[in-house]
Amino acid sequence: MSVIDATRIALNLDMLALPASLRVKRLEVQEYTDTDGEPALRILAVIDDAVDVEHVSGGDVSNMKSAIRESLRRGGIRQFAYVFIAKQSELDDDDGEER
Amino acid sequence: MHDDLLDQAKRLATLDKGKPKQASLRRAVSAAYYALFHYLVSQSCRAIIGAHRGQRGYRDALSRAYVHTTMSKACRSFSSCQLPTAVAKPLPGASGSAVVVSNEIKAIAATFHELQQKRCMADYDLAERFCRSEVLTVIEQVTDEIQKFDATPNTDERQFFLACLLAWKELANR
Repeated sequence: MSVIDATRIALNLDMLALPASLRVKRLEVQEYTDTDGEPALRILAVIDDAVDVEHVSGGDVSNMKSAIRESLRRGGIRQFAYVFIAKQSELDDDDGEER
Repeated sequence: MHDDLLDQAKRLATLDKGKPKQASLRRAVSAAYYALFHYLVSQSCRAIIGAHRGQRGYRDALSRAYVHTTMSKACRSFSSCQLPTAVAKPLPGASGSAVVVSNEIKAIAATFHELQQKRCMADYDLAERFCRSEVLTVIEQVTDEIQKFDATPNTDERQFFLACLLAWKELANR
């Protein structure tokens, strides 16, 4: 089984206990090489557009990332997971225009 | 210093109305990273030198010796509870390279390693696009983890982690 396939199984949203405040809609996974040259994973957590990110607690953000990394560890995946957060509207809005 | 940098990061992340400028978000990521960097260096110097006001000059002198990538590699190891076997061997509770690491240390170590990568992207990788949700949640995460780490008791494990931030390159290569 490839790392990506194992990662997708480990990151099944139905099995992960993620903080409700973030309302994670989906997790996208990419294999990635970090700036140290180490194989890693890049995970994008797409959250609901209605989440007020200015009032999400740092503890919930930390708990979400910990839950993702713990599930990967339990799934035997050793690569470090760099976790990014975005709303779908922000991804749609990223038209490459320089500002 | 770290409080001011986090305030600065939040101001930058919320500066632009509507679609934020990439320059504002990138500087916010960098400020949040440096908040955590200076916090951990300060804590490490306090663990090694001492926390008395009269010792500040010694802490300030030692603080120049910390290397970003060395700290990041140490943090990656602590975040995964896996240290090089030679480092782990004498530690209480170690089994091979696996060590017991408290949740507070694991969390702040993972955040530092992750944020060091994001700081490099923010400063140098123009192909990377940052969004406000990412930046604001990172700032809140750093704020929360500093508060939690501050509240942790001064255990041997905490002292060892903080010392490793300075000594990791030599320790890990033995």
